[in-house]
Amino acid sequence: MDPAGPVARDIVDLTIVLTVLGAGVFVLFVVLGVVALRRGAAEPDDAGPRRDEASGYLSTLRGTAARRLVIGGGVLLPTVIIAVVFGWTLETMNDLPAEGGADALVVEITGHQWWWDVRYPESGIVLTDELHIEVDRPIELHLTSADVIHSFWVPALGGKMDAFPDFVNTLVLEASEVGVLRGRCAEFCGLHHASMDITVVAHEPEDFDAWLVAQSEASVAGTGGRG
Amino acid sequence: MSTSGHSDGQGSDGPWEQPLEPERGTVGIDTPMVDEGPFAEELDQEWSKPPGLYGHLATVQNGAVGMRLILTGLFFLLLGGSVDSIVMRLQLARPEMDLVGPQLYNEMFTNHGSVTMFLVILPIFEGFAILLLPMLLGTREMAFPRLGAFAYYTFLFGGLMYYSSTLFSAVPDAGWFGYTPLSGPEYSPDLALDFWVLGLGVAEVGAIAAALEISVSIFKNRAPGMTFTRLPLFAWAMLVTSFMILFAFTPLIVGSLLLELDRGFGTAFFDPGAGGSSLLWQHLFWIFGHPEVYIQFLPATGIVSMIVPVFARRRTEGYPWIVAATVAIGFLSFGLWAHHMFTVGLAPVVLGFFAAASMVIAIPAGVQIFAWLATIWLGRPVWRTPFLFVVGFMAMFVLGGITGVMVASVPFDGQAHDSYFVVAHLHYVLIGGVVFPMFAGVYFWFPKFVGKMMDERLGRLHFWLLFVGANMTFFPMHIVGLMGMPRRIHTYPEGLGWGTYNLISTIGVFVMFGGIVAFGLNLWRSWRHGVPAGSNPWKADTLEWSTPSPPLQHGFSVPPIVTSRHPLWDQEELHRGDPQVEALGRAMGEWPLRWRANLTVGVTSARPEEVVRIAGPSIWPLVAAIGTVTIFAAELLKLRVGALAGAAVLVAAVIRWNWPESIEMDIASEEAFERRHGIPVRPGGSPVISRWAIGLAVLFLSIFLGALLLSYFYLRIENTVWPPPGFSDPAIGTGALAFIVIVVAAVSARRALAAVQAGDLTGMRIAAALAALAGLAAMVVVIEDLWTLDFGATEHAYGSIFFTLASFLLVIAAAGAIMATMVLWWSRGGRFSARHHNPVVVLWRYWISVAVMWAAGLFTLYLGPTVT
Repeated sequence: MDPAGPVARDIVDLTIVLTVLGAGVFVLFVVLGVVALRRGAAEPDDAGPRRDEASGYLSTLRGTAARRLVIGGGVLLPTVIIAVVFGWTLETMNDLPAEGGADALVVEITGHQWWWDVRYPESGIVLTDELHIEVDRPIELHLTSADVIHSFWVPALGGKMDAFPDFVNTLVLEASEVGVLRGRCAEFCGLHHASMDITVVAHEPEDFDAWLVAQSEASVAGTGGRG
Repeated sequence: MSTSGHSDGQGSDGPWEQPLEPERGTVGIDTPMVDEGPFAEELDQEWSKPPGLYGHLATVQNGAVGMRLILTGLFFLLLGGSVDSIVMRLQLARPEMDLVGPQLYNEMFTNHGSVTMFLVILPIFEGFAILLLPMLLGTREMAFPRLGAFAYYTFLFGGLMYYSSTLFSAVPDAGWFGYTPLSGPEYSPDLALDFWVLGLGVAEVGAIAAALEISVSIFKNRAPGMTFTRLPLFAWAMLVTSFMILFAFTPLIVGSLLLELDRGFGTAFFDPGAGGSSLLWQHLFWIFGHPEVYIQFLPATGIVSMIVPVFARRRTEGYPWIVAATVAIGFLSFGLWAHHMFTVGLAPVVLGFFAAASMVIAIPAGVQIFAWLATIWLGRPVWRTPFLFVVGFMAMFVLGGITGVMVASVPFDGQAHDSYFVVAHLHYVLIGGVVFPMFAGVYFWFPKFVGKMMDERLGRLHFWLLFVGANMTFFPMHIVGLMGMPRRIHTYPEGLGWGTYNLISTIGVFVMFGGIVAFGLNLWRSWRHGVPAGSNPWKADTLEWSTPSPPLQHGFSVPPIVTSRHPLWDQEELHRGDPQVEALGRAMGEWPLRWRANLTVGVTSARPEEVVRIAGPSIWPLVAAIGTVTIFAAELLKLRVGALAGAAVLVAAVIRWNWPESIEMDIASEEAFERRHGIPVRPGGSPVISRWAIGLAVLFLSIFLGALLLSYFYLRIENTVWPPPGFSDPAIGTGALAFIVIVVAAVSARRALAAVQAGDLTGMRIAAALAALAGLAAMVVVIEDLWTLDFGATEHAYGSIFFTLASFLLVIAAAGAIMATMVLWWSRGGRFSARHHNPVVVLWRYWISVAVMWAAGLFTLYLGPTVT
């Protein structure tokens, strides 16, 4: 709920719409419910329960009040709400990038029990449990797993995506401000699932370039990817 | 069809006009009672369980079986629903708590989910159905009481087997969903997951058995005049539910079978390294798993639909709307399983489809909710504990439904999936939407369970503690979920702002537990010292309230005649109608007293159709359940010879329990009965009921086969080369030969039926023998082919599915050969005649189905690689 990138921001907008609509429907239902429970007690229904003329055949609703409630509340209301929600959902889905484009930074992430292997194919950098990215540049993550199913999730950047041992999934994220973000495995993956975290560091472009250079030199020097 | 009675409109003498004073134990004021007839005591005796321990074990009476299911379910609720939740909530109360470690915590949430989903809600509702349906429907018993007893024992043994994992320190820890490959042999090598797969597998067999019994009972065992437009809504809900169980649990059993084969026999269904697919499990699991939610929810709506009109003092508004919504939910629920898989990387168009389907189900759910609301709106609500729970249900379920639409929105689900938001959503649906109605049902029908009223004050206390506690526990989870707290973690760091919300949740769970204690106390006190209930303390409208509380063993001495949807409100007399039906009803009250007779009706006409014999007490369902659990236990212990012994026990017990019982009527008196009452009497079993039974059994087998075929083609799509390199193509000629031989078996079974209908017993025997032999010959053809294949079941998923599918065909053919042999055996001693030959009819129907299933299976096995 504290977005640090455009994808997450779109989802927050969607969440606000969903919450407002949902709260509206709930309040409406509670008001109707309270009225229903009180009016009968206050003024006895003088039509009274009649003999059931509907016994032998399929009846429709008797009386306008029932018809309004069931058709209006049970059919029209959810239909309208669903149309709005579904439209907004499709809109948001279209806005979410499926691939990063030509200038995207590609990172290959492999889930292990219980750590993340992070590789930058262009520069050959290898990290563990740490992902460094550049602000305002799409990041295309290629997710897979070395053992069981994991799921990569950085809430401040966007939704999650599962990592399977059978195939590679693509997730595109983007950070719009500098900072350190928490990410973690969101699919139960065994004993230490709870501590399978990842730290995401978003740099300004120039800082990121400097970081890349420093890391590449460190790799060449043989000290490995990560401190 | 005339309903005599209250003057139209303001009948001031109507039962709804009088105050409800259940505490005083009012005795059936103004609502009609059923006649007991002159021989109620004799009938009650005939329908009672035999004396002693044997009687307890052999009883098949619906009241006993239903009550056992409910009590066992409540026991598991206490174990897996309450104890686990309290420990987990204590651990999560503060950040970085150290009460339980990750291993124990993983075991606990696995147990909590597995137990509540498999061993609590469904058995309790099946118990409600078995206990109540005969009363609600105005009939004496369920259609297959022995199958009901078998269902109970398999459920009990499966639950115990699952729980026995604690004794061996091998507790399942891969979640209630058991995703592969984590649950596979490589990452969960010890026996823990075998307890999970096999123990719950036994319980699933029980769920399916009960579903078969429930659906046939609703179709056939009803009071005359109770058409589908007058069917109580709980029966409607259970009818839809029982079909959903068949269609949902069967793929799960197939999935569990494949997983256990991977774990125990080294097959490669879910092993991506050998042509398997880790996602195949998720599809099989959620094809079950999502309908499962509605399988739990629909019976709850059925209970609500029974309670609302009684306490709103108003007939159900929009009855056909509720029925249509129930059926629609049943269908739709199978079209949205993939919304549990929004983050696995499905194509956008698939995501859009499943999002839409998941949202559309809000419409039938909305129709139901507003139909109840309209009934309350137009009625005069009376506040009693069952109604309190129903109102609590409506509030919580609507909120759970709204968050349900939210998580159906794919991008939002990307954030909410596997977070505490989903935990909040599902508990609003399952506690608000399912557990509240369950409690409402217990308070409402307690008079019919034990003949006493439950205490109102404790009931209110129970309600308020549970309602406040549940909202305290689960509402804050929406918020921490949106803050990013994931599920299934045993602890979380400080400084994220999650602590306060978690603390509120933990306090809430203790408030809820207080409610459960109040309920337990109430059950105990009311059972021991409750106010005796009259026949109709709530002045309710349906047939169960026309019998004494608790009812007699046989329910109805004289079957009622139904002319209204609310018979006790609209009918002054429950035995008035067509004179011939009236006479038949009176006759049923006097005869037969020496065997268990029941009246069945036409499915749509609801006119009397037959008087059939209902199976009596038998120890064989218990033995069959022991055989079943032995098969599973042998696999658990890797003593595979034991599985053969278990299968032998199972087959023998099933044969024994279906042994034709001696016919106590001669043909002359059968014909006399038929002349007098216009319908046949079937002391030796009804071909109509058998047709339903075999039809549903075949449906089960077909769904089983369907799930295997689905797995076959799913694996086919996942592999570019099929069969894999080095595996030879299947021999099409062998498949064709097997098919021809199996057709010979089916044709022989048909000839056996034609012969016995013509009175030619010798011809029947020859044809039945031919059917058995041809069945065996077809099996030999397939076995010979499997024997000579150049691959086994373990190197590649292709071999795994080939051997599994072929084995399924072999098993159904073996069952057919056994049936043909039993028909031969029973044909000695003149048991069959042109008039009595029910087993031959069953044999024929079964063999036709086997031939069709073999055709589909052989086509896939031998032509699958060619056509795809």
